[in-house]
Amino acid sequence: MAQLEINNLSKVYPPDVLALDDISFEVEQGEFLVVIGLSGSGKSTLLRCINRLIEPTEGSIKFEGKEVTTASSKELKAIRKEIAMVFQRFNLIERSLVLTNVLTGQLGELSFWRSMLGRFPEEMKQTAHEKLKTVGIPEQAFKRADELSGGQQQRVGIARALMQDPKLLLADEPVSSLDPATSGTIMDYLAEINDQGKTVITSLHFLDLVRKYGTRAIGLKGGKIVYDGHPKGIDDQKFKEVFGEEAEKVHIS
Amino acid sequence: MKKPKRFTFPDLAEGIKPLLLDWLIWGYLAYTVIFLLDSYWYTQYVDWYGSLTLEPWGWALTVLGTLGCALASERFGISVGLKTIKGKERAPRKTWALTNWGITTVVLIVLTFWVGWLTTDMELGIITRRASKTSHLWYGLSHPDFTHLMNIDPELNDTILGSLVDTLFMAYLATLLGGVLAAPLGFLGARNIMGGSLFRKTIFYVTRAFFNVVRSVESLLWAIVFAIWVGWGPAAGTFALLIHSMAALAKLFSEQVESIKKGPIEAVQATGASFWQIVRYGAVPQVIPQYTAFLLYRLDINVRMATVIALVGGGGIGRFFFYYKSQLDWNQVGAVTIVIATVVWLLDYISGKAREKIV
Amino acid sequence: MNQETEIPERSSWPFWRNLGIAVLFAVAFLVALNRINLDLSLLIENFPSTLKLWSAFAKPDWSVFGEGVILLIKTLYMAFMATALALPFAIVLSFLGAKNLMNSPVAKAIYTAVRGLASVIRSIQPIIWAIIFVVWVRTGPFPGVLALWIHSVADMTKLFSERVESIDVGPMEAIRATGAGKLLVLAYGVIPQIINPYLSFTLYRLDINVRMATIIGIVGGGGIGMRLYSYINKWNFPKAVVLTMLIVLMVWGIDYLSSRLRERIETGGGEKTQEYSI
Repeated sequence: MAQLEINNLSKVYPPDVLALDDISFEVEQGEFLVVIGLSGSGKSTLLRCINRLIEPTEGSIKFEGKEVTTASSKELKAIRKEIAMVFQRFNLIERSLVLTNVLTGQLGELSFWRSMLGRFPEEMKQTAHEKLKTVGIPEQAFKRADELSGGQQQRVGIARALMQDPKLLLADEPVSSLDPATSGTIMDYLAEINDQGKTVITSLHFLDLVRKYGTRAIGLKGGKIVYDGHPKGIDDQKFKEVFGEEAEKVHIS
Repeated sequence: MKKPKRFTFPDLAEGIKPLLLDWLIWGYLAYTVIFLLDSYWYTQYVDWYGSLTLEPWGWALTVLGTLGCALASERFGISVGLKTIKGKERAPRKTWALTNWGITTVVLIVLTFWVGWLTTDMELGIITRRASKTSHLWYGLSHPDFTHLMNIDPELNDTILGSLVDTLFMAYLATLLGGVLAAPLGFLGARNIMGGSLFRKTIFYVTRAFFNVVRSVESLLWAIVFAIWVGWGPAAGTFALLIHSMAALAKLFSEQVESIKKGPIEAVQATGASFWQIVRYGAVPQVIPQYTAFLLYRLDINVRMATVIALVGGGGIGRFFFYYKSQLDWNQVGAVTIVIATVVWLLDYISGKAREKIV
Repeated sequence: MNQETEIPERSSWPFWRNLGIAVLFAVAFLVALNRINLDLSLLIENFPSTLKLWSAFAKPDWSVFGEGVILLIKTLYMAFMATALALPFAIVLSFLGAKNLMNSPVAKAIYTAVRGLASVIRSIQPIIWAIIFVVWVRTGPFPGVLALWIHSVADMTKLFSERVESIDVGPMEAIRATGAGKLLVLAYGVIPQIINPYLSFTLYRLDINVRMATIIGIVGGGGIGMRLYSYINKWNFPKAVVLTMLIVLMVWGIDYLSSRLRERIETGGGEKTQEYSI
């Protein structure tokens, strides 16, 4: 049984925009799956359907054998604890401390009153500091999140994801808002997480990053899968299919 | 493909707006010109009260004439209304003052100033002529009498410091209670939360209208109402400040709620947090710092207002000011003024520093 | 855990600090409640005493409408005059009150004097200024304008100079590097950066002055407030209600216009996206 099984998944945005059109694929534990496609091809929607930040219209998603699409809110919370997410615009709580941002990764573990009062247990804080060290910014813990640079904010985002100790990491365009050098560092962290046996599903724009990090690539176009296989297998012909004719000169480097 | 353009009411409204604006401008122009003519030559047409009197046919002529001018200006392409409302071509940067818009603005400001000067009875000469009348005031200020700072004034049955504490407490209670009450109202007045069904939209508009009406009546006028309601004293003043603060803060709060970003909420949601945890960690941190800053600012405003609310029976340190002033006891007035200025200044400073730190 | 991560200084005291502040506020709240005697039941108990007031809303006396409109216009003119007369003073004083422009010892003394005086004047409410000016130049709109004027000068000076203090030094240095004198630096390095904020603050102040002008009449400062207060004193609520409605309409309208205009100024002069482009 694969870790993640997606069958006949469709998403229609009202009134009649078809974002995902009958998508099926499976992901094995430990894969580094890259989703590529033009903006508007349904990458973000696909990723957000997996943890139901967006409600799918049809189809089934099974995570470790549990059905996600019909899960009750309690079951869904349990599933979301296992699936971490990293965002393009970092989505940190800007006016809160970096440490608090990292700690939100463990909210699912915390009792109602403790979380309302913001009383995180000491060992949880210790873990948060360790995660910040893992992403190389232990000294920033007590700064406000909006004081950090873009690259640093994304590291906090990754630390927050690590805090969940997830089995699956979803990364929605994690490097699109960053400069190339920082992008490399962030991708290295994702690769490191992947080396520890965690599954990573990410959407990316740059083919060289796809080739360097991915163990498998899925190409989306108009909500349909147009490629599924090893990144090395994406030749110019395939690439044009995914990104359209004009993308060629921009993306192949 | 182009559909044949059908006539709709919004189109008409959109089309008529520039004309209305032009008409308004021409009408105002006519008003000022008639006012000036009247006050310099035909003074019999401006009554003792300074209001314009004109024969009925004169009014009719003015209304039609200005409409004609408005139509003409649109016809000859010098319409300010078209440019402002449709905001079409941004002309190759001429000197701003030479555009139609610029000329109109300058002319209107100059005319308004002129009419304003006459209508508000400006007479700078009086300031120097009657300067001597204020001598006892300056004398009192420079020789303040602090007798009742700590000693009870038998007439008012309180000390200046005691009433100062009252003033601060009034402002504090009003801000805190107003701030707490404003939050739920603020949600009802937030467009992003109250969108959707007609019912919700109605609540939204009713709430917004309520804020605006309550806000438009100054707290001093509210104090008159509450003085009638609960009797003279600090409670009336507090209620007045409270209701005004509540409306003002509710508006600010709803604007904050409207500007909540979706991203952080998504991120907290994705960690498997419960609804209240999402609110606590995703939404609240986006609203609270700015709102706290508003509260501090409001506290500042309320303290200022609380110093004068006694004028209409609202209690606080103003009681001393107005009482001593009515007794022409200028030395005591001086003392009270100094206390008020110091406290307000201090609070302004502290609240400013605290706001800087929060936002 | 594999290894000890050293935690940057700062432990968990913010929680206790926050708790302490919260307790402090709560205690102050209780003490204040007790001292002010804020009794909510009084609002219900004494409600009958306000019936006369509320019933006036049911049958307002429209005979004062025309007079009210004229008073309203006068009140607007008062606010306009105060703002317009305050603007030139505030502009000049704002440069003298900007820390970053005033460097020499003499200039520093001027800076301190300007800002100090502005703070003191600002701390005294326009209503109190109106009392002073009524003594000085007798009742009427003139002392009202003067009171609003002096408070506006002080307030605008503070806002303006804070704006000047936060300007970007880059353009100033660039102009200075061309060998330009102080005035040229001001004209090309400073003014372009401050003109929009100044306009925006002025509109904001006009808004405040309109609000203030409606109540300054209570102490003899002219405008609609004077008439309103005299009606209230005579318990002539049907007429007072009409004037109040007029005030609400005007303040609302000016508030709306001023905020719309400020929005346009702050977004760089009427960049209407979408609304007309589709």
